[in-house]
Amino acid sequence: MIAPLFEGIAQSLLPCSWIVVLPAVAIGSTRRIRVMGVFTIAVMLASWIAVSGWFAPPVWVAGVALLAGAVVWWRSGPAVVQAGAVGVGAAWAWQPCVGEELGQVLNTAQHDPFSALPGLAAFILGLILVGLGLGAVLGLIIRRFTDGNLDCPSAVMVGLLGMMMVVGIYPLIASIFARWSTALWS
Amino acid sequence: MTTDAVDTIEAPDTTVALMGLEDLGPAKGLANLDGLLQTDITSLEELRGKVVVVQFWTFGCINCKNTLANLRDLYDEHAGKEFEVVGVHSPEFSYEEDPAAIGEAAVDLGVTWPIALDTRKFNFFRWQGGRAYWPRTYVLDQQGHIRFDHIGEGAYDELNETVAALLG
Repeated sequence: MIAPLFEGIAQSLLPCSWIVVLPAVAIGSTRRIRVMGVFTIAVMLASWIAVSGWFAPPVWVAGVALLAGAVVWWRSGPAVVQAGAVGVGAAWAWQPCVGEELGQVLNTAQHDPFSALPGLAAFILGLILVGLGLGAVLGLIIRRFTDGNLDCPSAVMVGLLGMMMVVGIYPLIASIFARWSTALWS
Repeated sequence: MTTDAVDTIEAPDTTVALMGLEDLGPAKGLANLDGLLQTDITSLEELRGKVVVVQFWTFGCINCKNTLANLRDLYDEHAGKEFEVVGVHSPEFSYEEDPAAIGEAAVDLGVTWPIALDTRKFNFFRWQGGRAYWPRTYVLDQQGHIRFDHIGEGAYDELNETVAALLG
């Protein structure tokens, strides 16, 4: 379980993971354990359903889930239902680049989905830990120095991601960020 | 060059019996391509009779890049034999769609084998089903049957051993 966890942490730096990492930052900024927990479990389970081949929706469906979660979040504040919707949307939008550990998990999932679940859960935990942590630190800083919170901007960011997926411009935006990050890393 | 036929490589009349290598069924052909680079072939069917490694990749994907060293060694090791590698380039991001950029990346990465341009990811999804991944590597036997299928990095020994076994 340790190796997939660390590979997930490493993969969180790659552009192909940002569609999960950015919502994780938003969720982390709420600094609410239950919200973060539900988001984490939602990403794990929705990813597992997708990689097992049981349900692999088109990207606009993932966008609708993100958008719905963001709208309710914006209107009512962060709660477990919103976090669950955002987690499901992020997981279904995720198109992973596959390293050795995730590769083993995905190869196993092709013929034995239940055996793949622990490894996938560990990988997902690693993938979103950095985002949740970063969001929590940002949320703390904002709360300490401005007496405000990031609920509204976080919901707006997630909503924008969802909107871009629904209208089909997300790949273009992601491409621009990917090109920048590739230039940065190289 | 565009290939619009949607073919499945036909099952052979006589299948080579290969101890320990599972037959995963006939491979699908490569259809609706936007061209092929670094080759004169126009379809996968023209490679019938050869052992063929088919890898779905994109040049911006770090995990794909990590597999290339082994593929280069494999390609060099079996040069001159009835063996070929076909990299099916299926871009994740729009900046990876430009054939000129793909050609430049191939030079930079030492990819000397044929590259099929699957810009619309038709084959990427058709071969892999609804959920598709970068990289994914298949080995096809001389009859066009899939004998190896691996998602992601790794399994290099198994890949190399499968090719060696098929080449006899």
